[in-house]
Amino acid sequence: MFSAGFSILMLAFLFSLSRGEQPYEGFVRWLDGPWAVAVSVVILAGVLYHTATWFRLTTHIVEVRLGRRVVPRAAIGGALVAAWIVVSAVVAYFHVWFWR
Amino acid sequence: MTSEGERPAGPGGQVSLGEVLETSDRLEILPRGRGRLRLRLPSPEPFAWALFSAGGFVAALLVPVHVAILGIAFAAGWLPDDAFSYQRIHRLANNPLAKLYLLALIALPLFHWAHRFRFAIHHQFGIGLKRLVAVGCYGSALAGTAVAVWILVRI
Amino acid sequence: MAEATIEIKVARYRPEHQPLPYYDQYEIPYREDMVVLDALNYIKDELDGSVSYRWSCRMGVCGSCGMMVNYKPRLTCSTFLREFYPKPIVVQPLENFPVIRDLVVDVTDFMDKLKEVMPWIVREHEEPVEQGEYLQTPEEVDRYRQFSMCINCTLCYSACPVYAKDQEFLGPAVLALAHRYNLDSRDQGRDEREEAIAVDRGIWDCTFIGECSVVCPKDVDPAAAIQRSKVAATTRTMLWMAWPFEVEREG
Repeated sequence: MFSAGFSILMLAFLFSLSRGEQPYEGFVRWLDGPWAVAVSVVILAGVLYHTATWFRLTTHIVEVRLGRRVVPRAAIGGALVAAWIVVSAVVAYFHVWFWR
Repeated sequence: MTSEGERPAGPGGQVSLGEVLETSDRLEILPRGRGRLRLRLPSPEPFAWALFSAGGFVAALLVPVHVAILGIAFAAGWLPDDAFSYQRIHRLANNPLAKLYLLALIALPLFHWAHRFRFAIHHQFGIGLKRLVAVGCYGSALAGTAVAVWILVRI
Repeated sequence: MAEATIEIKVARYRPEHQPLPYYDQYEIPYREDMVVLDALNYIKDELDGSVSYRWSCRMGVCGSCGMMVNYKPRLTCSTFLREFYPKPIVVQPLENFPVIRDLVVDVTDFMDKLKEVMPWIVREHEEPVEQGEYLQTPEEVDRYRQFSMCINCTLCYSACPVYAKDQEFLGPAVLALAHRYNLDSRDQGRDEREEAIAVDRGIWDCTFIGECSVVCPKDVDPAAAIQRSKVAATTRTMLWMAWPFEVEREG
């Protein structure tokens, strides 16, 4: 549900972008306000919970065998979290700092 | 869905491929030559589940950082001043690769929600009407995707 | 010094005497090494011979003694009283199954479903006996060993909220065992088993709640088996997109 909420938020953002500078600036101003932050905090809590549980579930499904040994679930979980950090950093870079 | 007829039972018993194919509901193509070709119609479930999984990974991996940036970091003033300037964002979003990324970012979690909600309706709220519920759920996800495409094209 | 005792409430159902289920309460002597099955055996031997329940090996390998202990599906031979002592214990028949009498449930549904997935080695060609056994490397056994540990105790069916709502669902143990044979290198029946499990009442009804794996006394992890089956079925469907036909062989 929370990820769907995010989709709607993102759509609104992009919609305002498509309509031109004025509507975009208007939306950005709304983003600055308390309602946007409140909604975002709620959504963020929800998606972070989703990330944690999703990764935990994935460790049950993924099986990596090395000969007769199996990679322990905790290691898979750790790898997922590491990937998540890297991906987030890359996205953040593009979203915030990438000057074109 | 499995065979209505007799299944040769017993451990180690041989079950021939032909016997099973005969009794399940498949579409049959006209016989030709020595072998008969049968067109397999798969269940739609694997596609729904594949979208659900993809959406789940997008939601888990990508959405948190986007929410943090768009919704919180910006308002908190943690970003450089012109991070969200119209020119920069418009240029970023105009890139076709960026549009594809954004489409996946928006559409896949919608399908994730649709699949999960569909089962919640059946299992938690006890409502049947399988076809209606499925169309409603995936239909809304499709509608959302269509809206996303329309918006992205117009940027 | 007074003997230590513990209270056990046992669900009773004796349709020949009374149409509705009821509870009987017993107070039994408590020792630290007693399990719930010991308590039931004490009740039957000393207090009330009319109580009916199933048990066999008393060591957690036969799967007969599954019951609800304090509202959780447990093997009574492997559940120690000291886990609950001094609080009272409630013993009820396994949930989601029709009750025949007292703590005895009818698991016919499970047995029928088990047959549907052909939980045995299916061969397209049987090798002649003179050729000897089908050999397997330790690695090949590793692939399915975990899922072969199932003792058919059906605790997972009591735990599964999907089975509780929809008795058509094939259920965790059946699907896990199907997966066990699909993973077995000696088996050639993958196609037929897929037809049995890759259906709406099979793997696709599972929503990975995971309670089945939580209650499994042999760590089979049926939830993992089912999700891996979903991955396998999805992969096969994607490959179907490349070649949607299958050839029926003569004879």
